Formats: sequence, C-alpha cells, structure tokens
Amino acid sequence: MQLSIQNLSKTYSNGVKALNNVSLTIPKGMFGLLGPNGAGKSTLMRTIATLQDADSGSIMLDDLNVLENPQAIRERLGYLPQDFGLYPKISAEVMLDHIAQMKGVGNRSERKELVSNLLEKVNLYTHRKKALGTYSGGMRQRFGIAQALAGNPNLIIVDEPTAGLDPTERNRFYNLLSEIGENTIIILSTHIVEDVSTLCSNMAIICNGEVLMDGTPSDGLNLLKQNIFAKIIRKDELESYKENYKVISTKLKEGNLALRVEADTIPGEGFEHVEPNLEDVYFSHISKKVDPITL
Amino acid sequence: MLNIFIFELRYRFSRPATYMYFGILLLVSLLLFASGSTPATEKVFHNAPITIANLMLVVSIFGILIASAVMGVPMYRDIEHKTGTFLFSLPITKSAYFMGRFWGSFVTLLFISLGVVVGIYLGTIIGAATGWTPAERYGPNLFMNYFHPWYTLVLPNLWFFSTLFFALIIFTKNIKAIYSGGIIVFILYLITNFWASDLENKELVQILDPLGLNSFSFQVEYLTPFEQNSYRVDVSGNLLINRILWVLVGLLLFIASYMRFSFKYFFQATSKKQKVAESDDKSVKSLLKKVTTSFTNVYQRQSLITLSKLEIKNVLKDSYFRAILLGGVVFLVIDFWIGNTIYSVPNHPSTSFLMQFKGFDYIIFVFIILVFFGGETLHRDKGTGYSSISDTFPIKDSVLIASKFFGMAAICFLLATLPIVVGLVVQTLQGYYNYDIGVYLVDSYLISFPDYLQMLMLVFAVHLIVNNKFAGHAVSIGLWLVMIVLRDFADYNFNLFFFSYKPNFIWSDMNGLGHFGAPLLWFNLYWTAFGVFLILFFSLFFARGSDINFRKRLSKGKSRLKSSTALVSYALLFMALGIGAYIFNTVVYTNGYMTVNESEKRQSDYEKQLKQYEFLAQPKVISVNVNAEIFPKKRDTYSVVKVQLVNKTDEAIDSLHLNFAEASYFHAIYNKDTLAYRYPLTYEKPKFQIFGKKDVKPWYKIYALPSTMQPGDTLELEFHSALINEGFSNSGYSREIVFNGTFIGQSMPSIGYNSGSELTSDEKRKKYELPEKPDDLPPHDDPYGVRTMLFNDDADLVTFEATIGTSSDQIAVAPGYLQKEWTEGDRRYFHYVQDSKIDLFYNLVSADYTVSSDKAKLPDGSDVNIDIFHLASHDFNIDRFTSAFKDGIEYFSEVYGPYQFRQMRLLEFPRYANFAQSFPNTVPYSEGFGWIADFSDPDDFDYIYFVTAHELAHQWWGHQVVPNSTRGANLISESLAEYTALVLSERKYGKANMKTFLEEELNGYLRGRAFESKKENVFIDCNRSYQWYRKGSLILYGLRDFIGDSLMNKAIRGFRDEFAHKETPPFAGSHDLYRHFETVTPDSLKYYLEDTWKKITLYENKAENAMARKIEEGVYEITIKVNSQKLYADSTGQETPAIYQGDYVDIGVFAAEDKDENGRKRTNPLYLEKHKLAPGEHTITLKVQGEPVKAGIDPLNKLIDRKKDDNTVSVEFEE
Repeated sequence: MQLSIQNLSKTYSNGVKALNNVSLTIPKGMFGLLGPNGAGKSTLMRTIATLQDADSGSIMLDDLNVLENPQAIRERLGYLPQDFGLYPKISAEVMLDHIAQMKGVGNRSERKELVSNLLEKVNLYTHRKKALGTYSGGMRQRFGIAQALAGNPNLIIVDEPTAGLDPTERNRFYNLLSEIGENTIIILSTHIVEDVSTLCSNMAIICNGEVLMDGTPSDGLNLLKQNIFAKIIRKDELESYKENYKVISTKLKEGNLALRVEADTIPGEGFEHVEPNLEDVYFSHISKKVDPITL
Repeated sequence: MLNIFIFELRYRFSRPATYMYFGILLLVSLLLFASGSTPATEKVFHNAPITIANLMLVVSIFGILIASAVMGVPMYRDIEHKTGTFLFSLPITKSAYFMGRFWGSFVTLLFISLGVVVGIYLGTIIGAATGWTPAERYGPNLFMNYFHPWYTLVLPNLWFFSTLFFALIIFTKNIKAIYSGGIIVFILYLITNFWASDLENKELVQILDPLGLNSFSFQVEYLTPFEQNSYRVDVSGNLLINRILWVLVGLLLFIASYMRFSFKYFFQATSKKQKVAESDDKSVKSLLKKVTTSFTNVYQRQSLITLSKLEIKNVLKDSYFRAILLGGVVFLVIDFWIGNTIYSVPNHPSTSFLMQFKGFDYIIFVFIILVFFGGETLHRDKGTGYSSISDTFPIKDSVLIASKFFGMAAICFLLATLPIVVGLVVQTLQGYYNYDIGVYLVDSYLISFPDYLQMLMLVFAVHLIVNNKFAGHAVSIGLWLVMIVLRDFADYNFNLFFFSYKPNFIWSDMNGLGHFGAPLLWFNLYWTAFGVFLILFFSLFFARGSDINFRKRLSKGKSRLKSSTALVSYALLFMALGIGAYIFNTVVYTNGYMTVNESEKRQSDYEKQLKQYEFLAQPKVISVNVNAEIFPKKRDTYSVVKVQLVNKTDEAIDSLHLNFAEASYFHAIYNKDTLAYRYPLTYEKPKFQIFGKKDVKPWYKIYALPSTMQPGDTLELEFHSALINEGFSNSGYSREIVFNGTFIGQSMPSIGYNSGSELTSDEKRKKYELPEKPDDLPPHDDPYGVRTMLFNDDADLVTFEATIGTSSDQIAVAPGYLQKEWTEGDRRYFHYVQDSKIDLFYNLVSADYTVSSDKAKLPDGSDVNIDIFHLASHDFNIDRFTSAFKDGIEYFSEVYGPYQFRQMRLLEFPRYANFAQSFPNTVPYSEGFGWIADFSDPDDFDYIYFVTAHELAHQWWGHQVVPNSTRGANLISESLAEYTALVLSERKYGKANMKTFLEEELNGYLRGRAFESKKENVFIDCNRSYQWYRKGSLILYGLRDFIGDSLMNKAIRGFRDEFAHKETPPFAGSHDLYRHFETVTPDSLKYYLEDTWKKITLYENKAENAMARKIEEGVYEITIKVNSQKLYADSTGQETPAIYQGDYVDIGVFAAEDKDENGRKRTNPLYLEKHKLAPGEHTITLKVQGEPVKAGIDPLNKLIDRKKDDNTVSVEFEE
C-alpha cells in the first residue's frame, strides 16, 4: 500500500500559492512532513483528507483516486486536524462513541470497548463523563488523537499532533503511534524536528508549497555528513558571518551565538566540523527558501 | 476619557452598521408615514403628536435589538480581540475607559434612534407631496411634537437598554448573555401586556412595563381625535412614575457595572482551574484491538439516527434553548390558567379553548427557537470547528443535512407536545377532567406540528443557500417581516402566496374542527410539499470541507441538478404546484376570491350604479312561508319561500328589485313560471381569475312584474334559493351552515337597494370619487325614514310560518310554535307557525341539541315555556340562562307591558362568531360567550344573566316596539335593552355587583369616542355601538338615579304603550322616547336629560382630600375637599368648560367593605347624597355614624368622567 501524490497544485482565492507542483510517494509506516508555518503542510493534509480540492494533480491510494472518490477514502481515514472544535455540551464518552459509529463501528458492545480503550490510551478515561467544553487545551488535543484512531483507519493523517502536549503526554503519544498496526500509512506534520527523528521512517521537507527534500532521515543526514561546521561568535558579528557563509542556524548560548554553517570544506576561522543532526537537515533545506535566522 | 469617547465615536461612525441601523429605522418609519399606515383613525393626522409618540415607542421594541448590538459589543470587542491585555500597559484609568466606551456607544445609539425622527418627518413630507396619502391627513409638523416624545419616552428606554446590556457584558463577560437580556426585557413587556388586557390590573401594569408602551396607551386611550391632534402626551401620573422608575433602574445598573468593572477582573483569561496532573497513569499495555467496520446502507441509516440524536442532545443541552423554552412554558401556563376572561370572569379550561391560547404568546417563543436554533444547528459544526473532523466521515451529505433536519424536527415535535402536557396539568389542577384527547392530538400533531415544521423548512432553506449564520438569521427574520408587513399593512392576504400561511380555524366544542379541517389539510399538504422541495433543492448547493465559497457551491449545485435528490425535489415541487392548483381553483374560482381593494371597488361600483334605485317604490312583504331543507353534512341549504307582497305606496309598481349576495343562486317564481330578470351591475374581472373569467353570478336582479301593481294590489311569489358550500375560501371562514350548529340569518332575497352595503370610510369614498357620508341614516323627522322599519325595510309586520328539514340527528328551530315534527327516511322535519304578526326578522337553526326546559308565569296567570337548546356537555350555567328568562319575562311584563309570546327559546351556536341575537321568541347565543364560564367567585359579574336579559328585553325593545329607520332610532332597541337588563341584574345581584359592568361601559364609551373616525353624534342622534350600548346604559342608569324607578318605568311604559305592535307608520324614533322621558323629568333635572341626550357632556370631578375627626364613640366629623367641573365636547372631541349655576353630584363617605350573606363584596355607604355643586372647589363637612375609610365626589361613577380613579380618596384622621 502506498499513497502517491502527483504534481499537486493549489492556489487560494486570495492569491496564496499553497501547493506548487507537489509530488510525493508515501509508503506504509510513519511519514513525517516537516516545514515552517505556512509551508502548505495543512493544505496538503486537508486535500488528502478530502476536505478540499486541488487545482490540478492527483492523489492515488494504490488504485484509488482520492480526489474523485472521497467517500472511499473517508471510510479508511483517521484525521486529526490542526484546528478543531467539539460539541461543548457533550461528554467525551458519548462523543467518541458517536465518532466511532461514524467511522463504521456498528456493533454497540465492540464500540463501547473501543471507546474505553482509546480513552485509556490517551489518559482521559477518568474524565470521560465530563462535557467537552470543560476540557483544557491538552485534553482536547488528546481527545483529538483518540478520535483519529477510532475505527479501522489505515490512512492516518495527524496535523501538528503534539501541539499543546507536555513532554509526558508527547511520549505517550509517540508510544501510541508506534503501536498502530503494520499495514497503515501515517502522515504526521510538524515543525518539531524531534517528532520526526523519533518516529518517522520516511520524511519530506516542504516550504512555500514546494517539496525540498524527500526520503529517509538518514538519507538527509548522509548528504550533509561532511558539511556542517559550528562556531561560537558575538552577537554583533552575525551580519558579517551571514555575508560570508551559508548560515543555517543560530542558537543563543550564554549570551553569545552558537552558529552553524554549511560548507563543502572547513571554512577555518575557528569553525569546527560537527556531526549533522536532523535539525541541520531541516534548516539547510529551508534556508534556501526563507531566512531562518531571527534575533 | 474624552480620547476614548472620541475614539469610540470615530470608530462607530466609520462602521457601516451604524448607518445601516439608522437607515433601516428611517426607511421603515418613512414608509409607514408616507403610505398612511399608522394607527391614526380618519380624523386624526398621521403626524398627530400622539401618533408620532406611539410609533416611536413601538419602534423602541426593535431598539432592544439595536441596543444589544451597539451597547453589548464595545467592551466585548476588547475581550474578543484580546486587546484588553494591552490596556494594562497603557496610561488609561478605569473610569476613562469605562466612561469613554459607554458614552461613546450611547451617543451612537442616540444618533441611530434619530433615524425614526427623520423618517417620520420625511414620510409626512413625501406622503403628502406624492399624493400617496391625501395631504389633509397630515397636520402641521412641529419640532416639539417630535422632540418631546423622543426625550420623554424613547430616551429613557434607550438608557435602560444600554445600561442593561452594558451591565450584562460586564457581569457575565459572555456575549450570549445579551440575547437572554433582550429576551427578558421582551418577556417583561409581554407579561405587562398580558395583564393589561384586564381592567383591574391597570395600576401595576402602567408602572412595570419596561417599554412604557402600556403606560403610554393608558395615558392616551381616551383622547378624542381633536385632542390627539392638538396635544402632546401628558407625561404625568403613572407614565411619569414608570419613566422615572426605569431610568433609575438604568442608573442602578450603570453604577453597579462601574463598581464591578476593573481591567484585571474584566480581561483576566477565563481559565477555569485545570485539574492538576491527570493522575492514575494506568500503564496501558494492550494494543489497540482491531474492530469490525462496515459502510453499507445500514451504516448510513444508523448514522442518520445517531447524528439526529446527537443534534437533539446538542439543542436540549443548550442553556439558551432552555431559557427560551422556559419563557414559552411560563406563558403557556399563564395563558392556559387564565385564558380569555369576559368581564373578568374566566372560563372552565375546555381543551378546544386552551388550544387556541397557544397562539397568544407561546407561538412567539416557538418562532424564536426555530429561527435561531434552525440556523444554529446547520452551522454548529462549522461554528465549533468540529466540521474539520466530521467532514471527513464517510457519511453522505444527504445524511448529514437530513440528520440536522430530523434533530430539529424532533424539537418541533417537543414544542408541539408541550402544550398537551401543560394543558392536562392545568385542567387537572383546576378540577376539570373532561380532557378532550382528540382535540389535543389533532391540534398539536396535525395543525401545530406541520406548521412548526414548515417554519423550520424555510429557515433551513435560507441557511442552506445563505451559508452564513448571522446573514441567515437576518434573512429568515426578514422574510417573515416582509410577509407580516404585506399582510397587515398592505392588505395582501392571498394565503397561497405567503409561506406556511393557512386559512384561520376555530375549534368549537359543538362542531369540533368542522369545515376548517379540509382547507387546513390541503394547505398543510401544499406547504409541506413546497417546504421539502426547498430543503432538498437548496441542499444541492451544500458543500462540506474547507475552502468553500459561493461560486464553488453554485457549481457544485449545478453539477447535481440531475441527481436523485434533485429529481425528488422536482417531484415535490410538481406536487406542491398540483395541490396549489386545486387550492387556487377552489379559492379563486369556486369561492370567488377578491383582493381587499377589489371588494372596495365593487362596493363603490354598487353605489355608483344602483344608488338611483334607493328610494324606488317597491312592494312590502306581508306574509312569509319558509320551506327549507338543511343538509348539515354537505353544508347546503335549499329554500323555497312563499311570500305575499302588497303595494303600500301610492304609485304603480312595475318592477321588483331583489338581491341576495350570499346565495349560490336565487329565482323568483310566479305561477310556476320563473320570472325573467335583468342584472344591472357591471364589474371588472377579478385580478386573480387569470385562467379565464368565471361566470358572473347575478346577485342583484331587476324583474319585470307579470302585471303592474297598483296601490293596494297584492302579489304572491315564490323565491327559490340555495346556499351551497363547495371547497373553501381564502379565509377559510364561513359560519352559517356547518356540520353541527347551523345558524342561517337569511334564506330569501331582500328587496331593493341597501345603503348599508355602501363604503363607509370617507377616506375610501374619496378614493373612489364618492361624496362624504357623515351619517348612515336620515334625520329623525325624515318622512321616508319614519315610515320604514330599521331592521328590515322589506316589510312592516308579517305573518310567518316555516317548515324545516334537517338530518335525523338534529333539531331544527325557527320562530313560531312547533306544530308538528316527523321523520321521512333519514330526514327530520319541523313545522313552526307564528300566530301573531312579527317583523320580518327570522332565523333557521339546526344542531344536535339537548333541551333544558322551564316555565315562567305571566301576571295574567298564563305560562310561558322556556327552552334552552344546548350542547349536552355545556350544562355548567343553564340555570343562569333560565333564571334570566324567567325573572325577565315576569318583571318586564309587569312594568313595561305583557310579553307577547307563549314561549321563549335560547339556542347555542358554535363560537365562530361571538354574539347573541334576538329573533321573535328565539335567541341564538354563541358558544363562546359564557356556556363554559366559571362563576366560582361570588363577586363575578353574571354576564350570562345580563346578556340573556338583554336579548330577552329585545322582545319588547325591537319586537314590540320596532324602531324606525332614522338617525338615533336604534337606541330604542339597544339602549333600552341594555338599561332594562341592567335593572334586572341589579335586582338580582345588588348595586355593588354592577360596578365592574359600569366601569366596562364607561371604558367602552370613552375608548369608542377616542377611535371615532368621523364625528361623535349627540346621543339622541346616536349612530355608533359605543353610543347606543355604552353611553346609553350609563345615562339611562344615571337618569334613574335622579328621578327614581317609578318615573322611569312610567315613561318607558308610556312609550311602549304608544308604539307596541304598531302596524302602520309612523314608527318610533329617538325623539319619541325622549318626549316620554321629558314628560316625567322634573324641571330641576331637565339639564341632565339635555346634557346627556342633546350634548356631549363630561365631568372632571376630583376629591382632593378628606380629613376626619372622632367626635364621640362611633361618630365622626369629616371634611371633604372636592373639585367639580362640567365640560361640553364638540363632535371632534374638543372640550370647553360649561358655565352653569350648579349640578347635582353625589358626595359619599364609605366604611370598610365587607361580605354579605351570599359572600359578595358589599360597599357600606355612611353617607351618599346629592349636592348641588357649582364649578370649582368645595369643602364639605359632614357628620357620619361609623368609621369612614373612603370619601369623595361621584364615588360610584354615575357621571361620565375621564379620570374616574381620582374621585375618591382615603380618609385621613386628625387628632
């Protein structure tokens, strides 16, 4: 099973080009979609989730055309949107039961079991009788995760799933995702590199609606193996470094800046070679499109 | 502060909404005033100060909506945009922020309210200039006429609303609280409105109405046309207290919100304390189990059910829904508990009455719920953000929409069911166990439920196409407003074109839903089919997901125009059109629908073309023999009436003019030959007959007589006619022939031109180029009028007999004595003969009756049979009807002259009309007027006894003495009947019990003259019901108080003896009765007779204070300071103080009230004597035995006084 996206483009009526000729092949397993805010991740995910149409291009799940046959995709889909709401007056248990029914779990007792199972997994079981309107942001997000997993989805799309979760809950979520059966495509969008490095066997980086990189995380790392160099500088030196080097990221460190640059050979001037991490891969790609350095 | 104030103003005045509100108010008032659609009667200017004030106040109801938007938003804007947090850091003080925001918004609101002022002003200018409304209907435009009501009435309202909404936002920080606030104000208004319908609650209502509308109405209700044109509303008394009260409430709210408000409090994030550490970390080891899923049709069906249930839950759990529903239920309970009172007497809670009360207030709440929650439901997923999840579910669009609809349909079902529950509870608590389950079920589920569903369908269709919640609400409310305005102000009433409108219906215990069932069924089918079409068709344009815009939905819709949903919707549209075609045919063709304008135009054509025949010499009927076949189930009647005519004129007559507008057909037959006729009228074709013109029904026929009738010649003719009901009319109304309770007033053609069918409104007459018609009847000495009888100019007195056939389960009744009763097949026949002469005024009645009989004894020892024909279950008050007949026949015979018949009958008829009418020895009496009244309070005014006595009295006043056809003559019939019935009631129940009745009469008279659209005649020329009923009973009762019973009786008896059973002219007129009163009235009291009969006289009597001092045990000296002034009014209501030496006026001192042996309230006068009082102030000192409590001038309101409440004061004691 694989999802193949061919030449997908989308321009909104306000002129924003959200997707520009995007092509991706997504195999079974966890797929990370990395990109800064406004990169087009959500548009891509909404399009796959049948919430909106593309201007051109196609999305195929094996032989199934997603854009022409939304109903068939919906039957297999689990989706956690970036922004969502719930009925404030309804309890979590009732709502999830309802959603499970919407996702085709017709047998009442089976559904009941599924609901308590899911609520336990996202650690909401003790709060299951409460109206959703009283939930905090984190609890709501966890409910969102639970509903996305309800039924038998084998295409799971989760848009910024870890937003608003504390570290414990994030771990719990990672564990949960990793439990999901083999024969499933999971697409996870995030701008948190750690999410991808922890979970994903495949990934893509998109920015300004274009795919900048596509492959396994180790492919990305291998490409940069020799090319990342670091140095600590004073803040006021940044401008001149930016002129002379391809600076991909800066971090504040004890009042000074930890600078990382990409170069074919060691630049000297006190730069040291470092092992690249996934963050470097990410910044290396998006720095071609946007200036990631803000102070 | 000034900065924020200016900032707020600048912001407001840059917003289009501000101008939009202003513009709407301007446009609405402009249209109302330019088109002349104000409540002003014809002699009142559209821009009279009172009319302007009235409209401004009514518009302030909508002011609630605008104020909630303008006042609620400014503070909330800062919460919503989270700008509040920045305000901490700015150098703004709390008071600057609060005051700036408040006053900025308030000033904006004041500006918006000026839209009404400008609109009215422009409306009067444009209306007069374009000739839309006759220019003489506008008076001078004075600045103060606009400014005064604005600052005395509108400004306090706006202040109260503003502070209320501001406070609501500050205290709740929730924009939704504003909705509830608005609803609460509206409910308060409805409650006061409700109480206002009963005279006894006047005081409280005037003070508590938050809009001041009821207080205003009470303040101006008796103003005559002249006064409405000349004076601004007098803001004093209760109106002033009301205004001050609500301004103070506003001030309180203002201060409270100011105290409560602080930046910290207000802008603090409303985070509830979150549960710390979601504990019990059950280490979950189990993997997610595989579950079985299926997406077949069963899944879609199952989803439809669960989605609908969830939707119901969503609505039921909404606190605003609960609040509004609670409001509705409160009103249901109140309306069901009290219902309609007549003379403050309630009815037993009969189911068919209760169901009607749903339409009072409950329906408003239903409408609010359906409009708002219909839209809310459709937008819920988008609004909450849940749609981004739910739109990816594999359910079909149709299932999604259908579930929303079914969810709300279940709410409709609940709303339709609640009145049953409340009704059963109210009936049980009131000890009424005759639950009519059939009526409950039919009314709730076959009438109300479809009605609510149709409302919902339109709301859904609107929201499906508009797809924006607030715009959707606005459009749905707008659609209904347009329909209401078109119907109520523009006289459009063709139900087929007004969504979900149906013909009216009235439940009757006698006739059930009767003939109203059929039109309701057809219209419900029609609107339901159309409504479903709307939903299905507009659901084609539904699209889910994100990034949806109008164009996308349009193209989506287009692509679905051939889908199965679309095909079903077309099928329903065709079905609706088919049913509509049937309705159109029956309403327009079978039942001859005409617009309001067309009917008026035809009235004017009738007058223009036929008035020439008004005084044409015509023969008079001298004998009548009716043969009528009534078919109650088919609602048809066929009559053959044999008449004998005689030429009583001194001219030869060669043509006979007959008219019978209600008949389906009629013919005149002479010697078995149908006579040839000419139809003299030509009308324009009715506009709605667009599919060809229907055959004209000649309803006015000019026959050439077989031979010329010389003076004194007689002629025998047969009139064949039929009343046939087919299908139904636009109004659905028709009351004469019904399944059970037929009451036909006319079964033969009438002779000649009838001036009663002319247009009466002078404004309309002018529009159709007819001369003004100041009076309907000629002066008292008009020779034609004097020799013509008032109720029927076709005959003087006649001999009468009737044979009536009806269905075997019914009894048929006509005037006369029953000779024979027999059955032929499934038909039952009755033959009645009247063996003495009567006026030509008869009726035919047929129903399934139970008869309760009794007898009265005449002074000569002979018996009079009394029969009450009624519905078996309506046996609550039979003794009241019977005793009125018994007491009346005996007493009236003794004092006014013997009763002329050997029987007296009263017959119940369905409450499609609320009246009783007195035919010779036969009184049809409406079901709605006392049959199920609950007289458990001994102080209740027994209006059954009174009305029955009134109808009985007509056997003397109307039948023994028949009034002639001149101005004022009707007082012989109505005022004497009213007076003699009042005397009879007083004999039975005592003077004190008459108080409610007399107050109603006074109120009726004063209101009647306030609404006078032409001119008020003096009593002797009376021409309006408020004069001959209301004023008549007051002044005759007053005269009796002056001259005493025996002189009154002497005069009336003398008058009766002069005219009773008179067969030849001249017949009695108002001056004849006056002559008899004048003879018996002593000279010292003649002024009263003249004041009341020949002038319009009012008194301004007022008690200033009363001081008492105890002289010895049980003896008090009391000093009363009073003011008295008599006024004369002209026909427009302009008053001038009278100049006179002194009039007799009661001075009274009263001890505390107590109860008599019957448990009735008893007033205990310690002193009640007439004093001759000159105009001005008087101080009167008296000694009384017993402790005085109240004292005053004319304390029993015997004189006509516009402020009757200030006549007495409580007695104060000095040491």
